[in-house]
Amino acid sequence: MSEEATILTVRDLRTHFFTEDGVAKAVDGVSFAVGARQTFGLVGESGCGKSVTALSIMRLVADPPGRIVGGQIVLDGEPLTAMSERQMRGVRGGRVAMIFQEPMTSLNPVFTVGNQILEAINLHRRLPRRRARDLAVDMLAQVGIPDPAQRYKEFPHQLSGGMRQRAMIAMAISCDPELLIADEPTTALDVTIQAQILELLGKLQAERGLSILLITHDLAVVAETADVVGVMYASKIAELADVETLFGEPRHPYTQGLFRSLPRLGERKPRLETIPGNVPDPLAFPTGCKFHPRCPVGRDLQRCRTSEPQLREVAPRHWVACWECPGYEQAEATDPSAKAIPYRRGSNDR
Amino acid sequence: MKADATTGSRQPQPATDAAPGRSLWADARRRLFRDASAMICLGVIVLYAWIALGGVAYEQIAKRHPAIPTYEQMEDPGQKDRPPSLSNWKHVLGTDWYGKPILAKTLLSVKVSMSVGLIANIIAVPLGMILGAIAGYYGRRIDALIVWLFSTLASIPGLVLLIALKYAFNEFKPLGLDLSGIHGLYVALGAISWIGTCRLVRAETMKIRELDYVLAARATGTNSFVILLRHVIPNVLHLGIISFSLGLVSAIKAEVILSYLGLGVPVGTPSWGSMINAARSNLYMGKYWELTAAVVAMFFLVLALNIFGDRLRDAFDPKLRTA
Repeated sequence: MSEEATILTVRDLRTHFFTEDGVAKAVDGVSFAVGARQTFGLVGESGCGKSVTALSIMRLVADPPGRIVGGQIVLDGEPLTAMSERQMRGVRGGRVAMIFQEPMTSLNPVFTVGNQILEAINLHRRLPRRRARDLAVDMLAQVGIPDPAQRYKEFPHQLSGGMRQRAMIAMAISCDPELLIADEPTTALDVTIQAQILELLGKLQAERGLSILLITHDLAVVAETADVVGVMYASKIAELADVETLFGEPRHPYTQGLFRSLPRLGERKPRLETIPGNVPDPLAFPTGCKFHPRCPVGRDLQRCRTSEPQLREVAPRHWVACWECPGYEQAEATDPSAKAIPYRRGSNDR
Repeated sequence: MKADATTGSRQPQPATDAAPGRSLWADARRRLFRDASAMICLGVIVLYAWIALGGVAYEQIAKRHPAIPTYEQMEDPGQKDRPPSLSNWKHVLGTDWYGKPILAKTLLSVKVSMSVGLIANIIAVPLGMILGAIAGYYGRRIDALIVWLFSTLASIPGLVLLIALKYAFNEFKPLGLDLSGIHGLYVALGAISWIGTCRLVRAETMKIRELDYVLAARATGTNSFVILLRHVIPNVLHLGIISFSLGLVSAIKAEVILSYLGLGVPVGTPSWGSMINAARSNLYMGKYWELTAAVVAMFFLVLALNIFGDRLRDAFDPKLRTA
């Protein structure tokens, strides 16, 4: 764990949706880097573009209406954005795997769980029938499914939500991917199961040297699992830092607002604080800083209303896009995707 | 297995012998088999199927044995238009204008009905499913083309189209096939009855295309053809089965109507439609038996198929599925 190698680089990604009502810039200039064996948490409200970022990395954005109109996605030195559809099919499931929010609908109801894991294995590996089957059962065992040989033969509707998510994870890791994209993997599960699934992801990461891009709206999940966090707001990253820094000293008013709106144990408040207003419509973003209409600091400031701040490195390895953030004026606009932020939870304490 | 050593009391079972899970298909089948009215109807349908097979067998035997009369040889000018009576088995349901026993005529007609129903649907249902799935999954131009095709076909009244096709087949031999006889009926019916299935399957496919398991399959690098084959078609297959069972009814009815109009089966082939046609002119003289026999025989088959199709749909209904 000495050297931080970068596994995934997303540089100035722009994914736009060309709808009848106009162009929705769902992702508009997102840059970040994920280090090897690192968990990168991408947080944001619904509709801020975090899922589209994930789908863009897999090149699975529905076209039409969506299209990656600019930017670069590099996986371990190879640009995914330049790959043919055929090459991309080798990457999907093989080198980058993905799990989804809804375990209830992510498995095909007409085939057994084992059959579907087998399909994923056969797509990327040449294995004799028996070996592939044994591998699939072994995968089920590795994700902590009891009696895997029995579960292998069962249909998705016979499994609980948590079990299905485990089966999805088994399918995702069956071809030994370098990167796992988890799009809200625990949102549809109850808290106890959530904890189990997160623990499982952590275990698999440690055992297999997996890098994880975790997409969630849940700050608690991020606090539990991520090494590095990017906070997304309205198609852009608002703040990017390692988890300790971000939770310790959030600098963007949006991030600060998110933390204020969390309930705290032992604190008595008649009402939870909220961030006033709604997420802006991607078809009609406000001018200037997209957060300014909701911002407690910059709501009435001329600069916030007219020109949009870009990410700047306000402290070493801490990027913020806010005019009013202390130190922003002097800070340099370095490229946040140039190198992964070398931070690993736990290891820094030791 | 290690687990058994600790639980002890449980019967140790080799992993490979574990009971297979219950698929949604098995669930539907179980529900169907528990349904008394569906089973009675299935019994009726099977009975008709046996009669049809019996008809085929009878014709083959009669061809070879001079002692057994073929359908043509049943003609008996001395026994014209006899009303039903129990004095002679030939007269149980009466005789027709040529002296042929109505009982034999009615039973031999089952073969025509069943073959038209089956073959027309064997053509139509797979065609409708494949076109519907392709249109729904790929969308865009392919979808536009297929929708245009079936909208155009659907804008012409079915019967008119059928009659036009039948007339066309008398003159025109597509791919060198002679379709002027009953084969033309199969093809004509098959060519117009895929539309309903196609619409259903297209709509369902458009729904399934957006489901997470299709996205998950794409995310594991599956190509679109395999997704269509493995993830879309199996999930719309039940629509095909329901379409098939209900399509049988429409094909059988269409054959009767066409034969009644003299455009269906060739002259001299026993069919309920031609029976009704023949009986039409005699009805006012009080000769009800030919018409009655054809209508009653058809009634029970169509009723059984209709109810069975309904129960089949219920059995597959996802709202009735229990997790």
